[in-house]
Amino acid sequence: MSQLFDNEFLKKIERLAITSKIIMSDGAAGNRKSRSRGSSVEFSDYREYAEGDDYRRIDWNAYGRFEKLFIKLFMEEREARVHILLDTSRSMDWGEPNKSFASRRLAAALAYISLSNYDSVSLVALSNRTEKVKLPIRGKNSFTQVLDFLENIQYNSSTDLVSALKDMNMKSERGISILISDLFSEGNLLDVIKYLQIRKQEVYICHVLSPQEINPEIDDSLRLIDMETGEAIEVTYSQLLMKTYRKVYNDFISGIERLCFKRGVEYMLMDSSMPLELMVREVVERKRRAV
Amino acid sequence: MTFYQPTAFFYLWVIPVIIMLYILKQRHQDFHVSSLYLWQETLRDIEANAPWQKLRKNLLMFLQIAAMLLFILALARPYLNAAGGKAQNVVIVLDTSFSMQATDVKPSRFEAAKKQASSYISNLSPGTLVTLVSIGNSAVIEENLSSDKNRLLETVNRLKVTNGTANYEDAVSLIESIVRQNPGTEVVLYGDKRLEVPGIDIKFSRISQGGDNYAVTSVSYAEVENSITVLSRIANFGVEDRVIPVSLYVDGKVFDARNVEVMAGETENVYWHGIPGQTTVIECRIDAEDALKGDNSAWTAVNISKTNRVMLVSQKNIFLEKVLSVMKGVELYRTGFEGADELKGYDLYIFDGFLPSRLPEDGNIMVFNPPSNGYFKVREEIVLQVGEEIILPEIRLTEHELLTHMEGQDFLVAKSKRLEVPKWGEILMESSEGAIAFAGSLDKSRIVVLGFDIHNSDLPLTPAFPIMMANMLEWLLAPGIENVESIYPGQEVEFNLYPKTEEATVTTPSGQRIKVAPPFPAPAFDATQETGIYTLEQKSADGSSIHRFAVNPPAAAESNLLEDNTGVPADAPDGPDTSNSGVETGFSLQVLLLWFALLLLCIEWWVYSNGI
Repeated sequence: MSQLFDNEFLKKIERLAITSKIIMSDGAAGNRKSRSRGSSVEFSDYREYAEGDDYRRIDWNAYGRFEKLFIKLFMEEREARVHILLDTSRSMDWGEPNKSFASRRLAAALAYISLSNYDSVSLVALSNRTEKVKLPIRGKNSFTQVLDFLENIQYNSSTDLVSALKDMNMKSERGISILISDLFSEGNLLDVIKYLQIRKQEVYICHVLSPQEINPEIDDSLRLIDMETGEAIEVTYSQLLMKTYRKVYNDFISGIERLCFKRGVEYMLMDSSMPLELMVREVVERKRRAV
Repeated sequence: MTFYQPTAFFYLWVIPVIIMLYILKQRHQDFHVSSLYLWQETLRDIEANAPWQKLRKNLLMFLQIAAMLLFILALARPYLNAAGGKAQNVVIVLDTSFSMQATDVKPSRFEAAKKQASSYISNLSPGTLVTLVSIGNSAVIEENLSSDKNRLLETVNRLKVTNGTANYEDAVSLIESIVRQNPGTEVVLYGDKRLEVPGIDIKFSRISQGGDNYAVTSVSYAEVENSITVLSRIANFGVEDRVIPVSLYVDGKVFDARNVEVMAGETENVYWHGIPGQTTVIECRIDAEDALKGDNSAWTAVNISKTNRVMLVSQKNIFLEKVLSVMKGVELYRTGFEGADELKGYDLYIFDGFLPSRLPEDGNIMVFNPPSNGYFKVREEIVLQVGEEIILPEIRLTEHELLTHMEGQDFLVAKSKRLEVPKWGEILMESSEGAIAFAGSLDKSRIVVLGFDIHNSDLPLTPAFPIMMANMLEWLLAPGIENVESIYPGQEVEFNLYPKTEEATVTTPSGQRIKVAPPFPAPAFDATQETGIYTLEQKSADGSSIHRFAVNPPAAAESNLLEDNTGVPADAPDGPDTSNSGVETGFSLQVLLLWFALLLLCIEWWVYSNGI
């Protein structure tokens, strides 16, 4: 048993799985209700008819009453495909506590919870390309594969999430994509979101940062060297420097938040020092609200 | 502007060093971070918001250079209008007289004067030659043409205020002679009275704010039957009428106390009666707070007059006998020439027409008409040599103190012996043929010799005779101290010790014992700076005798603190006050520059920490 996933961790995610029971169903092919409206038996809502809709689903009774075309929406019940997209660029292997540690434990926990809910889980390690893919795993019994996968991840490349996703060549079928990254990436986050949403993915972004990135501790003149690129800049402590960093950081976060909100993406900012329970609860709560 | 330490500009080499340090730049420590993304944004933002940010480091450098320049300038000690102007020679006159003890200026006039003088010296241009003069009872050159400021400051610091009276006459002549030697000399006076010297502009720094002052200006006594009556004079030098509490202390104990009402600027006589006759010391004291405490007490010593035993060795001299019998305090003994060689035990021996072969050693000597070609010896030394008798056409009196009050008294001497005047003697009377009378002190003895028989003169028939005899007996039979009941501090006292005295000491008011004799005759005693009662003790084989005298503050001259009088010598022409101008002290830029430098450093620190 590795240090990353010790017994204590496993017990913890088991408890988390129990406490995060979300909408359950008896469906043979999955234990989770999809967010997407479909033609299943359980009535969900009405919606005004729009061109291109299946006219077979028009509710003529409603038309008789309101003289307007409505279609019925039903809950579609099926197995959810969960993609856990883990940023494995070198920048993730930094911080105290280390972001890679926190992010992998979060990935493992989410995978376990999904497996517990009869969902299929795919794990993808991304850097500037798709490093590794673990094809759909089903059933809690396969969880060890998840652990193996996560434990063997190497953090030694730069980040380019767009290229990495393109490299992955994801199939266009409904599913959930949980991106765990520090988002210090080449390329535009919008492109990442667009790429996933085009492939019918419900996108969750777990933005993991270390406390030293949120509140840098500088008290002298430093030559800051980028771990990924080797590029360096010199800074000298001043109140203005720290004030400006704070502002830039806030702009960075709020820019991402705005983008995610606009695109209907669930965004969660996580500090690598946060307890795992809090991280998981954050994700689970978002999911519950989203359904 | 003058730089007192131009050598400080040597430190200008520090400026290029600062620039070098900026050129070399500070080394940065390497530190790996996950991503430079936010940091690059931060730096871009800083530079975008402060377009002159790139100049920031340069701004710090300029601030540091400016601060360093200010420091170096401060080290060079720049002054505006340096004290002493362009004068190469400066005379600083410091009044050390009694009135400078006044506390109307805190902590005292003298301390304030010293402080101002020190500041003036510090602000003088380097190389200025300073002569430091103090004016007390006499004007004293404390430092002569010195350019060593530290030494001058030490000397000023060492100066002490005296109980004396400022001797302006002395000061004027001293200043005149200094300025005559070095024309263009600037004269600066720190004191409470203006000093005017014709033709010299004395810069005057008045150290005075005026202030109420009361003084006992004199204490004297008179013996009335068996008791003593004291007269004290209480002066109010203030601007308001006052009731002044006054006490009289007799031999250290309170005898009486009164409230005396004294009008502003007036003096009141206060009589104290019924003081016991055996009193020795009387002190009159004012029990009120004022600006000058030193003059609140005055003393007088009561010395009981002693009866003197006088031996007249004469065949017959009615004039001498008469005049001696009426002299106060004289117990007269007479004898003929027989057995007159071995006389002893008298205070005064008067030999008329006779000379003993040996001089008595226990008393003073007066000789009339010594025999021709006679002489007498003291310790085998011939001290009196008498010449032939001469017929005198005319005599001339010298201005000797023994002949005071005899001016205009005409008398004739028909014939006299010519006298060889010894080196210790001073001529009293002389003729064209030589000296006929002299007086002097030889060891412990005082000797007066008149070469003529008074029967050969009309002197006894004139008023000059009792005057002369009174003068001479007063000198020959003087008490311990001559003409002294009370003196002012610093004045000299002449002691007239008894011939049999073996040792004489003076005890000062503070209890210090000072030996005045031997050697004999005792030199003038001048350790009289302290006010109070001094005690002269003369020890001889017969025991000791005590004589007291008082040294009183110079209240009449120094106690009026309101007085804006001018220390103008009596013979100086009246000059307008405008001849005195104020003392200009240079303005030191050093402190100002240091403050500016400090301010710049604060700005630099602020710029640095706020990253402006």
